[in-house]
Amino acid sequence: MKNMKLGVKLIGGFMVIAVITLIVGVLGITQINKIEKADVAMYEENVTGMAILGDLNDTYLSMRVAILYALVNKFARGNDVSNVSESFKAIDQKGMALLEKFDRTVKDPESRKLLDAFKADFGPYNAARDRTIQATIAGKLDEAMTGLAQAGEIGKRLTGTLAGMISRIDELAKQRAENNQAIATRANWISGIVTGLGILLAMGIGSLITLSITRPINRVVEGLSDGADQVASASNQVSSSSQSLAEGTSEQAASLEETSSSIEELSSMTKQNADNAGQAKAMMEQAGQIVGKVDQHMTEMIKAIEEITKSSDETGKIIKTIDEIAFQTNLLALNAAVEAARAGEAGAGFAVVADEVRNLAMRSAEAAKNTNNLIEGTIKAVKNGNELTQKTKEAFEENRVIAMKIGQLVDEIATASNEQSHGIAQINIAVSEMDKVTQSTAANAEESASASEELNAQAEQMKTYVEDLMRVVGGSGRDDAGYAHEDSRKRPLRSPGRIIGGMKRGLPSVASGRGKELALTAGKNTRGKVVNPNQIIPMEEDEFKDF
Amino acid sequence: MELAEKVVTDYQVQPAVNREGKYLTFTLAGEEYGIGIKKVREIVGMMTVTHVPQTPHYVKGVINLRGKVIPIVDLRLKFGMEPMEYTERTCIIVVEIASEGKTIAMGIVVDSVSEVLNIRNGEIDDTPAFGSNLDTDYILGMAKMAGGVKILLDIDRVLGETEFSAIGHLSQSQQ
Repeated sequence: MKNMKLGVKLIGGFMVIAVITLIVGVLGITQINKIEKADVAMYEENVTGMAILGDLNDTYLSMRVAILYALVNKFARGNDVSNVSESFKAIDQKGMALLEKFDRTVKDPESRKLLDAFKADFGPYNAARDRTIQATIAGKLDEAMTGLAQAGEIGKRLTGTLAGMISRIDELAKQRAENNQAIATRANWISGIVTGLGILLAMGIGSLITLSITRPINRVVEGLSDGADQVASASNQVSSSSQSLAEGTSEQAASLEETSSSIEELSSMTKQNADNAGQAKAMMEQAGQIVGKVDQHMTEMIKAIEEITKSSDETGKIIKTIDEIAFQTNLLALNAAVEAARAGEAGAGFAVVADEVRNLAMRSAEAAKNTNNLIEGTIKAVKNGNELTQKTKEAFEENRVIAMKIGQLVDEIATASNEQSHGIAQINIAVSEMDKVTQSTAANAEESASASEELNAQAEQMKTYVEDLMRVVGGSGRDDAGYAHEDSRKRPLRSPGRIIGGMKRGLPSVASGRGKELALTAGKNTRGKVVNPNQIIPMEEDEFKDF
Repeated sequence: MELAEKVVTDYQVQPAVNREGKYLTFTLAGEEYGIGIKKVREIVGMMTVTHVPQTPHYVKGVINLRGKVIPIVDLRLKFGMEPMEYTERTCIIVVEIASEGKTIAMGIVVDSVSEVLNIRNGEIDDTPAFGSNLDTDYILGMAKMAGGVKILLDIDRVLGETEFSAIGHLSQSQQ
């Protein structure tokens, strides 16, 4: 029973009920048929017979009346009544017809007996009647009266038989009616019993099927409700996370913008750097050239200084020679003085000459010394100059080396700037890619937010559907004691819109709200009140107001 | 008594000599010395000295001066001073020394030769006594000149007789 399809169950149930109805109906129909048949039989056998007998009675009476009328007509009024035999023939025919008709209806042996008796009497009656009529027509009153009396006797028997037939038919009818009544009663009983059974069975099957349908449906509804709740909360989470994602993405986009702009700046600065590096390189090259020139000049200067030194040296040599000459002259003068002294008086003049020579020698020596000093000074200065030049050369060499290094560094800077430019271009590309990705992420976040909104709406709808279903299944939700505990969980379903609306308004998550609701409803349940939605929703609203 | 006499005698001898006259001044180890001009034969610049073995350390050797062989004495070493590298100013003063009645030429190496000065008696002071043990016979006197004191040498005594004979033989053989 549990595993059958719902359609099968329902159809089966209804089939069963249909079968029961069929049975009841069939029974009823058969019984009614029976009654009908009985009724028809009654009609055919009894009512018709009665009617025929009535007609027959009428005919007989009319015949008697006709006879009497003929008699009266003839004898009282003295009219011609020859045409009455025609009417009597007609009446006879009618009567015969009626008898035949009645004969057909007679089933009862007693009736048959009576009929036979009637028939037996009918002939003679008619004969008597004919005689009477003939007599009447002939105007024979006495024959007429005799015939009438004969007819009258037979007529009495006829009447009696007729009455008997009528009463027999009546009896039969009564019997039949009683029979019919019995049949009807029986039919009633049968129908009643079967209907009662059918009702019980139908109720039982209906309850079973209903249970077997509503229980799973309730379970499913519960599950759906829970699921819808979870979906709603999850979609809420998705919505909020999408929102935060969108926010984050927009922030990311903004920071990407910033990054992009600062990369632009960086790029322009790098370009500037590269330009500057290029300029610096050019200047370094210029400086290098200048240094080269300076070096050249230095070398030339050193050469010149060397030449100066050389010439100074040579001059010095010459001066040295002069000095030597002076010295030798001095010696000579001294020797002369010595000789003059040894010569005594004779050498006095020579002594003077020697003295003068010595003076000259002294002057020469002095001049030579001065010149030497000058030369030495010059040489010193030249040496100084040389040293300075050398130092300058070295300094320039250092400068050159440093300039080379600077050149290398500038080269490296230029290369690095280039690479930096490339890198920045790459970064730019990457940033634009990131921007694209951010855009698409934002779009995705938007989509997912809207999808979650839809999901929310769908969950809400699902909840309303579930509500409907619950209403369809359980009405106010309190059909079974077994569903009471579900009731407390059903309640949130009844205000999903509120909850989801609350979520949309950005109120705290449903879980806490629902917990409170559960507590509320649990309390309510234990108090055993009938759950009224109107009691709950205001409470929930209050709760939300508290939020 | 004899010692005192000797001292007095020695001391008394010197003032009696007339030391006025022309002196050839030269430098030696930063000090100015003077030799009487009459003692000086000639002055020559430094020239190659031929070393003679087995001679005292202050005897440098001999030189060939215009065919004459003249023994050379380094006055620095003679005076016990530090020897010095000969410069272009280093000269050899050829002096004539009286020894054993003969006049012998010798050359002394001096740092440099200055000039011939006419020094008067007034400018010459006697040699101070630096203690009785010190022999200052070879100093004629001290000439007070502007800027310093010139030591006037008695060259005869400087190139004393003790060494003289060894050296004298050298020059004598040549003469």
